[in-house]
Formats: sequence, C-alpha cells, structure tokens
Amino acid sequence: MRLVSSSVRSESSEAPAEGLGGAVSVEGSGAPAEERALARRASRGDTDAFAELVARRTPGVLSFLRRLLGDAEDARDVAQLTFVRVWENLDRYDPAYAFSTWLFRIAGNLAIDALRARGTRQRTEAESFRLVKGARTSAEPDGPALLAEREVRRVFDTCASVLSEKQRLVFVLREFEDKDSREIAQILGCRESTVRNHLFQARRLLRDEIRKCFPEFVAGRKE
Amino acid sequence: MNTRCPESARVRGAVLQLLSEEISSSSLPSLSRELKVHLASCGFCAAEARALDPTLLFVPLSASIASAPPVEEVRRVSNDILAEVRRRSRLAPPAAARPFLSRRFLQVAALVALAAGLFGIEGIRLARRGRAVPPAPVAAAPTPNESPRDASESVRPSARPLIQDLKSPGARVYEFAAVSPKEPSVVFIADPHADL
Repeated sequence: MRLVSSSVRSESSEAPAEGLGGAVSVEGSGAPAEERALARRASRGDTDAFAELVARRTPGVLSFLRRLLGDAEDARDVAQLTFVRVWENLDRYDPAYAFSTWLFRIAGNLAIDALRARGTRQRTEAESFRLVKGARTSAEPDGPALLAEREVRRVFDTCASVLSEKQRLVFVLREFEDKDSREIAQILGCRESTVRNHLFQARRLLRDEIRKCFPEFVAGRKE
Repeated sequence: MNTRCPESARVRGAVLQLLSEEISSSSLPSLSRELKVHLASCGFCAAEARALDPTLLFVPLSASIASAPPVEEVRRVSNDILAEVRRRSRLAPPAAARPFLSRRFLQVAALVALAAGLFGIEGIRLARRGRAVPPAPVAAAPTPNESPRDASESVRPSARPLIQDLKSPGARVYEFAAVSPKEPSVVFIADPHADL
C-alpha cells in the first residue's frame, strides 16, 4: 500500500473523494458539475436548488468549522452565516472553480473573522493550563495508545492556540479536510508557496507545543 | 495492552519519508488515507508514529476518519439556514434574479439620468436667454404725442436697457429700468443733432 501521498500528485479539487467508508468529507458528496448547475439555478432565485446545496454541504462545512473553531456553537453560527453569504452573493460565483472551493473560501474567511473577534489565543492559553493539568493526571504513564476523538480535539484546540489564524486554517484544510495545495491556495487567495510555508510553520509549532504540553502522548515506546 | 503490529516497519518508514519530504518536496506531503485509517485503529503503530511526528496525534480528526456531526444537529442548522434565506428572499431576491436592477445597470441609469438632467437644465436656460434678448432695434417707437417718459413706461417690465428710435434721425433713448416701482427710472437720450 502507498503510505505517503503528495497533494500535487494525488488530488484535485475536481476529483471527488474516494473510499470514505461512510465518513463525512467536504468533497465527498456530489459532483462539482451538479453543484455548479444547482448554484446557477439558485442564483436565479430557485430556493429548492439552494436547499439541495445546503443539504449536500452542511455536514462538511459544520465539521470543518468545528475543527477550525474548536467550538460547536461558534461552528453552527458561522455555518449559518456562510450559507446566507453564499445566497446573497451567488451572482459572484465563478463556475471556473468548484462550488466547494468558493464555499470554503467564504467559510474560512468568516471563521478567521470569528477567531480574531473572540481573541482565541488569549482565551485558549488560559484554558490550556487547566487542560494540561487535567491531561497529565489522567494520562497513563506512556500515554494512551488510542485516543478518543473528543480528547484529540481538546488537545488540538489547546495546541492550535499558538498558530496564526491562517496557519490554523491551512493545517485544518490540509490535514483534516485532505485538500491539495492548489485548492487551499484558491480558498485563501494566495500562492501555493505561501500555503506550503504556512503548513510547514504550523507543523513545526504544533510539534513543539505537543512536546511541551502533552509529552505523555508522544513518549517513545520501549521495545 | 498493544501487541506489536506487522505493519509497524512500513508505518515507520512512511512517517520518516513524510518528514524528509516535508523539508525537501515542493508539494504538500501527507499520509495516505489508508495509513491514517490504520493509525486510527492500531494503538501500537499510532504510538510509534506520534513519537516520530507528534502532529500525527491529530489523525483521528481527519475528515476521512472522524465521526460525522449528529444528524439532528445538521438538520437543525440546515433548517435555520433555509428559514433565514427564505425570509431574506421574500424581502429581496438574489442579485442574479434581478437582471434589470443589477448594480451595473443602476450605475449606468444614474449616469444617464444625471446627464439628461444637466442637458435639460442647460437647454432651458439657453432657450430663456434666447427669448430675453430682443432684436435690435425694437419696434416700440413712441407716437409723436408720447413723451420719452411714456415710451419708457410701456416697456418697463424689461430689466435690460431699452433702445428706441426717435423721429430725429440718429437720436436714441436708453432707459435703465428700476428694480422696484418706488425707485426712479433713469433715461438717457442720445441725439447727435440736439442743440444744448
């Protein structure tokens, strides 16, 4: 089996996700051509077409925002705002891009605004102190082998506080949403080299933060 | 707790390859979906991978592995979105549904209206000016019994100096009309044959 994939070689924003096994993916529900047609109908005031787009994309957008914002309530609010913005600006949608790319661009920008507005960094830093203490007392001596998703989410929310909003967005889009560098660049409105730089910095910062705050999770195994 | 996995050597090799490609490659290397699924289910390999690259701790959050949001939550959010959109569409349909009221159309219409207004005002002003300038000389010569004063009263409404021919060849009367009836009118008679 191939164990390492490169975004340039293996993925395209046009290609639907493969083999999801029932899990939700932002790219996994529907062909881009169908969504372009739905968007065109919706832009002419067809609310049924828009409802179809909402039904297809709400699960993926909610998951993405939940991972990016680290808060379910904020994720719901931003998801709602995202689709309202989409509805209001359907005449500006460029069919040269996948509808999901445009959707994630709007969602990402609104999420960044939300992160900035609430001063995530300071708040999460304050919370991280409690989380680190809690994690250390509950963790096994050499760390849990398989962490529950909820626990991992808490660790990520804590560690991601050291990232800038864009670093966090790039990391989530690449590592969690499996987007390639070209699509991330389109979503962010920047060059692919900038995306690579954001991702490189994000990984480096997260490694340092995990080693510092959660050493029990990364302890080497004694053979 | 965790027995050694037969895939561990390949997982280790893949993670090391990932780390080296991260520095050297111009692409965005990432673990394959297959490996992520394996790491999410194999505690032994997950611990080894985390020791090499701590960010692999977050593999369970990958969209291809993580659980979907609850159906009830998705339904509630979708309903909220559609209710809000329907409310807004009753107030104003989306921009593309109003081709004749597009922003560009309104901009052009405003410019045309402004230009038409300006030309219209200027045209009216020019027309009034054309009517106000009398052809010279004005055929308002007084009768022999009329004094110059009477002649001037007959044309008082005009604010411009009036030019009148008199019987004396070459003689003319200019009247500067008063602004209000209480003010005296100024009359100027020019006659090259007048004997002063």
